[in-house]
Amino acid sequence: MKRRLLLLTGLLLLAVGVVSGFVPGGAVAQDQAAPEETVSPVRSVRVSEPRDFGYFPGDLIRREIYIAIDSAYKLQPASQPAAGPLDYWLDLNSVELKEAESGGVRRYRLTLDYQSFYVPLEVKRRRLPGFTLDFVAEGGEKAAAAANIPPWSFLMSPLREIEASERPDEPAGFLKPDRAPRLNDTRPWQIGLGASLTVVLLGLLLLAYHYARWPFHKRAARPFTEGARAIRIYLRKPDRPESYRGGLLALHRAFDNAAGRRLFAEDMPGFLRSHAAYAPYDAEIDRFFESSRQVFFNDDLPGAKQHMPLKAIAALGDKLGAAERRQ
Amino acid sequence: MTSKEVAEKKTAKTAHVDAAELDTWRNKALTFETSINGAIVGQERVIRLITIAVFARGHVLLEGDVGVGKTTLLRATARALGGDFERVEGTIDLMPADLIYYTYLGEDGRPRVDPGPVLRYGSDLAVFFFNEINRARPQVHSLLLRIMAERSVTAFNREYHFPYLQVFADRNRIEREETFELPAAARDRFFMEINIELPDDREVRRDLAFSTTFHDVDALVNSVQENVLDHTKLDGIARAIQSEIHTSEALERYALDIWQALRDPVGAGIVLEDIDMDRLVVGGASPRGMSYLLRAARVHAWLHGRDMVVPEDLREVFPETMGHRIFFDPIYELRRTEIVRRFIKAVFETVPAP
Repeated sequence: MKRRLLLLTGLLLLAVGVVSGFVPGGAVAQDQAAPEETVSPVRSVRVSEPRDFGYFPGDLIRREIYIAIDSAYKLQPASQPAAGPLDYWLDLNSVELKEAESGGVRRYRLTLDYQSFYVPLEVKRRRLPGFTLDFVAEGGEKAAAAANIPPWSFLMSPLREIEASERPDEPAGFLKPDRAPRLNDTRPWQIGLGASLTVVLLGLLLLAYHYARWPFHKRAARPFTEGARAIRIYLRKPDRPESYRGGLLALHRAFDNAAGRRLFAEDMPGFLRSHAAYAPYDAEIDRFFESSRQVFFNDDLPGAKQHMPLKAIAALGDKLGAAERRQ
Repeated sequence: MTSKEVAEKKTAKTAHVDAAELDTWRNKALTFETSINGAIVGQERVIRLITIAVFARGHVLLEGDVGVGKTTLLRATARALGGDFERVEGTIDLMPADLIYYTYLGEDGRPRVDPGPVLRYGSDLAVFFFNEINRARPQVHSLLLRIMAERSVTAFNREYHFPYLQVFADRNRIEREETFELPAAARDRFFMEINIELPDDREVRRDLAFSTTFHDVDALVNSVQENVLDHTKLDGIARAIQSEIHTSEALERYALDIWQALRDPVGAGIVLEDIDMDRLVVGGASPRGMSYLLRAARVHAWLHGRDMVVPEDLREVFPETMGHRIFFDPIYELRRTEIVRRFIKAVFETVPAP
């Protein structure tokens, strides 16, 4: 009986020891300096913890670890925790390491971003795992050093009561309506799209014009229409001698462009044969060429004007233009 | 009184020719043409050009195949023109002295020196024929140049003048051996260089080959009416034509544009297929050529009964008066005939008139 009692006491002591080992005494302290042995090259390890209560599913937890060590030592990159899922409820989202050296001391700052997805039904303590950071001496003469980062625990709370007194979809229920989506302002994008489409369209048009593609592919030149337009401008001031000459020249250029070469009076029969549309006006055309000769090669402006006034030239230009458009 | 003074007196008398007289002369010119056309078929354009040359008092170089009737044409022209006429055959051993005098032993056995073909008729020489001019040596060419340019020659210690002289030369372009190419300066002095080709018309060709009238050249030439024109009056008429036929400012501008386009075809925007226009023209189109062109154009206008020159006149006489004065890059010189034709056509199709 006495032996059994002794065994029970031993087990109890063991259990107490185990439990006290799991719960670190100074867990509530925000900043905690772990005492280090003087022989270790690790000068200090300091962990900056956030608050350790009031966490809900999906919350982010950031731990920052500051380490100072002899500058002869370097952190072994493989010993730092790798980002990724650590447990079914815990992710390590990112690991960031910063390093600086001054006065024979190398300082590291390790930033760890955890995210907890644990859904507690009541307030529950969760624990972030501890780990060991390894340091190696440069040159490999000295022994390796290590810094222990202790685990850290915090309290997570449920989001809603377990036994709901209200229907979940009622206003007071735990199902809240979705937040309305944020509407991005697309106006600058719309303007940009419109502008670039305009530029593309203009470019295509220019290309089409350059290569004489549709819609520029077969728009025939209208030399007589253009000529008639030019003559009408001269007709506004018919008394000036330049007007008469200009009118004659305009029609000459129209003939030239229609034939694709320079046309003289003697070439007219051939031209009218190949461009039958203008043949009905051959008498007028002859008169025009005679007047032109009088003006340009005989310096007889009044005679030419009498022979064929500028109005008649304009009329001939109109007729030829009409004949041209009928083609 | 020297022959030159005589000539000047004669031309002074004919200097004032009124419009009515020009009309009668036009009729004579047309008769001249018709009578030659009667003997030489299918060469209307060539005969028109020769008529122009006669009334512009310019020397003519005929060019063409063998046997197309160059010599016959010239003989017929000389006959219709009237006046004394002399001909020389170009050979490789012909020397300038051979044109001026010839030496022989007289009946009395003593050596004699008499005037040669050029001097024989004195100042009455109207037509001088030089057959196969490219067979003669350059020395002969240079004598001929002087006769053509100055209508005078120094011989027997005095100067001979030929106020009515018109030189016709011919050259066949087939042979190149034992020939001397005419230098550019010599060609520039010819008023016209006329290319004679076989008529295109099949009917005319058949006539030429089978009709017996064309077999006897002498009879053919004799069928041409003689002395249609009075060669002593031609100079005065030519001068009257030049002063009576009017060129307007617009036409002068046009002629200058044409000239500019000849010398700078790229600037005028002339493009010929498979020819590098930058390199084509190396020179030529001399001012003398331009003045000849205008002279020929005036005569052409006169023959058409106009008192003004129009662009058509320039175009009509252009190939013959200017063609041989344009000098091409040696690469293109070999294809000269074809390129000149295309080039001139392009110039007239490009330069705007008026």
